[in-house]
Amino acid sequence: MSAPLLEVRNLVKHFQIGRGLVRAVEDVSFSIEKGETLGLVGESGCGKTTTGRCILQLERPTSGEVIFEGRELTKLGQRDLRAVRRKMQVIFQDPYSSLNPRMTVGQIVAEPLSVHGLVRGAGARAARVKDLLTRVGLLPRHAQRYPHEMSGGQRQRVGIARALAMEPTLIVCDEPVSALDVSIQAQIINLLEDLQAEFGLTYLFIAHDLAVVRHISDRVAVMYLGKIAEMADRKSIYDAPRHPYTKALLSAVPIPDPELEIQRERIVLGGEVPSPLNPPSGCVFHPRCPIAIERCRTDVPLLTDLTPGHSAACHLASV
Amino acid sequence: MTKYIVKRILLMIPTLLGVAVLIFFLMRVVPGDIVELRMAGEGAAVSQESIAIERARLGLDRPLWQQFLSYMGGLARFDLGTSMWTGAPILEEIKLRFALSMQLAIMSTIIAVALAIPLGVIAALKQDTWIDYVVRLFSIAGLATPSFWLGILFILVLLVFFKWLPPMVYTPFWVDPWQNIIQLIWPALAVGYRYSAVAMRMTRSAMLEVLREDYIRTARAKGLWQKLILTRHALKNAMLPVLTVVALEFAFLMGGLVVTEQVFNLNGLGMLFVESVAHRDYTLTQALVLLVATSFIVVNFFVDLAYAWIDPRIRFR
Amino acid sequence: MAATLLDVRNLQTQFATRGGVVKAVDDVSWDVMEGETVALVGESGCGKSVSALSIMRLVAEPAGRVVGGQVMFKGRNLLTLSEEEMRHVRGREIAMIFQEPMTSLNPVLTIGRQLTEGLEIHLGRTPPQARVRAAELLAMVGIPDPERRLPQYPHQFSGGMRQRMMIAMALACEPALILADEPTTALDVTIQAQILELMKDLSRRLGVAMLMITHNLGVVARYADRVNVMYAGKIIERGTAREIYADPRHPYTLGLLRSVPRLDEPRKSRLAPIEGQPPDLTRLPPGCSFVPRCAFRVDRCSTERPPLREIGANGATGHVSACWEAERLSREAVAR
Repeated sequence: MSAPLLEVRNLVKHFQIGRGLVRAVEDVSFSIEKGETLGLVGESGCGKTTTGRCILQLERPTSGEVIFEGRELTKLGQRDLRAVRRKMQVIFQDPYSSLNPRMTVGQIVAEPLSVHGLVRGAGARAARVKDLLTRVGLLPRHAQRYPHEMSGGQRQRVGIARALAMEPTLIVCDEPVSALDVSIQAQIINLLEDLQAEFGLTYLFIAHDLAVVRHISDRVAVMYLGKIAEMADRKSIYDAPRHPYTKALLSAVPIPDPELEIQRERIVLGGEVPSPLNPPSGCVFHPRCPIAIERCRTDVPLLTDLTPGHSAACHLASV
Repeated sequence: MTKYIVKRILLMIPTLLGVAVLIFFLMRVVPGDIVELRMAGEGAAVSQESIAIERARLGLDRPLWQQFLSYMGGLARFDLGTSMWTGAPILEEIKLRFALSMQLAIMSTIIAVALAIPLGVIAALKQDTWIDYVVRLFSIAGLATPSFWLGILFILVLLVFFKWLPPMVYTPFWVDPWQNIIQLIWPALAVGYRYSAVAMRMTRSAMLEVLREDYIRTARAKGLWQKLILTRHALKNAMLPVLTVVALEFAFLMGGLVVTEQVFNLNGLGMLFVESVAHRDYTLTQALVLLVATSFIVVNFFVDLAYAWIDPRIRFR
Repeated sequence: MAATLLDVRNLQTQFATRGGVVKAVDDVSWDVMEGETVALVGESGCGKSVSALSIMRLVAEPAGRVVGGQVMFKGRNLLTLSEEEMRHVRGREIAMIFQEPMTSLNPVLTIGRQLTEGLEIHLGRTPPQARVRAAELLAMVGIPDPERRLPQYPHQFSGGMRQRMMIAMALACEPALILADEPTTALDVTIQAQILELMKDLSRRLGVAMLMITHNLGVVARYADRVNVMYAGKIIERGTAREIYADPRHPYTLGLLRSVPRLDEPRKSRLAPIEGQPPDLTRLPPGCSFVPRCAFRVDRCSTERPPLREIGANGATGHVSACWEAERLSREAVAR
């Protein structure tokens, strides 16, 4: 068995805000095999976006290792990082602000090609741009358009084309469809899946929409307040969740079926999501947990395997 | 909140110290000194000896660091020294003039704010209508019109149409308030008009922005009437940038109204400033600069307090 | 038999833009009964928010204007009231909750002030009376330790708590109807669940009718009694929640339901999206606006705009659809 494409070990990221310390990511570890999609799910403040940025070295981790294609990224200098960055790309959430409004679509997609010297000659670059645009479902003539002349879904396609230009092996998708209309979301998700099959891409799919994550991911990690609460393959997470937070999260997602909705068990969590400036003691979830016991307040639960490939950080999960 | 106030007060001290040091050295960089100017200026041939004696008398022959130390020492005792030109104690020289300039500055500010805020609000409410254009024109005229020219115009109009001149001799406010006001109201109006221009434009744009905010829409949806929305919900939010602008402009009023003072025959700080620099009157200039700097810093301190009072988010930081 | 509380008839609202006149709300009719929860569902630009703003007469003038129709509320046409009369309706008889709790509260006024002003203005309460009631309202929406909260400011609270305060503000004067414009879209999923449960509970207990505007089909399924689906400024289907979900009769509704990944269904290998782009409201085609993206279109659809018609031949069931091919869809549903 070959080594995983991406390995994250004990990743920690703290931010100093004034006199307080924001513990955005606290000891997160996971790995992604080549061709796989790992979904990273959680609500605001859980640290999923910061984790993605640390992997890409857009933020330098406070501690921990990020091993990509066998190379440890946290120790690399800017020059070496640049070479590695070709293989790791990112698609952002906001198709409105992640594209330079003063550049045409063609220029946006061609930029990485010329910066990294991948394709030489304007003619060859134009041909490659045309190829990329068609692959993401746009027309060649869109290369002359400016971002503000296109719809949200089309702009997201441009973002995807730009990411593909470098022929990466890993793409971090940070909430790629949250800002899009419902009817367009499905188009983009299908496109991402098609491209994955065609190019053998590996995805880290960060999102808060559980239904979307379930559709596109092979494995899923649920995060809460900087820690991984549960991690398993798709089927296990959704059909047999073991962590109380995962259960509550799943039950909170409304399902478009009135009959089913009335019969469903509802776990409505009390309280607010605590601030990462001041995380609770012991298990960070214990103040809101419906089944918390005394031990949860004092001992931090470790992410332990319950069955092979399915782990949860809960004192009561194995019961 | 108290922490905020204390921090602000403590910050004033290094700022003032910095100003004191800076002006000391800046003055001495400028070529020529008071002795040369006074004696040689008369055209008569003066012996080097006399110049040296005069310099020693004024303490200008001592090494620089000694002069600096005695200067700082004087400041610590709140002793501003004596003017090198007239020989009179500086405190006496500037007491009255300071009172006049300060009063003029305050009156101009009041007039400016009384003009700027209502006009700015109206222009914002009636955006792009003829009212808006008239108000904006009015404010641009204020920016373009020199206040001394306007002052001359006032005097002319008063003379020609009302056969009346404002008093030319200064009466302090505590001696005879009425005389005082009818003398100073005219320069205050002239200066205040110009001063109001920037504040008016700032009020207008701040108001426009605030009126587009979500919480104003919430207030309307609650069934509040327009005037209440304006006064209770919108104004407070719009005032912050306006306050900044007003505070910044205030500095200029304290020592910069030279020509206006000439027009109205006022004994303010402006003329004194110009003269003291021309004379290279180190002690007087230093004192004047410190004075203006202090007024400015104090005004800004109160503005900072006002900020915290208006915007609770600043208070709790 | 509950009475009709709000009856919107042939409402038309337009915006003048650089690209031309946009018919944001194009001849739209729907109603809300007392105590009922009705949903307006659709994607961005379909006209659902503008509909609510038109009812409250808060459409941003001069660019936007209500140009036609009637809004009958408790026997009066709101569109013909004077501004002063309308002011008495806003906040008192009809209240509105907005999408962004972070920006919908005034940052420089205390929570107490923002709660009590409606009580003082509309119900004539004295300030002490209003404060007592304000604390009661905060307790009702589940905010712990309400008296201590009154002198605090919005920035000291999270998004979920701010939205609860918005709900408290809306309920203050005991309105008969609340318009909720995407009230939970900006909130986390678990907080969303809290807020929606709260709203449903209060609606039932106090008998307040609710218009829920959203793009989330799941939310609508659980909380709405009747659903109006909007597209390009028109209502293209209406029915009870059960009817819409079990038997959708418009290609857009069908497409939406099919394209959303669902937790209750086995994972399909591929989603079935609605092809094409959202409509450009300045350049709508003649006939049905959905034609460019419709899998069921026939020639007639491009030339004649379909009216909202009853489904089924057995009298008025209330399930209507604006589609020439509505019958064909029911056969599709059976085949599915």
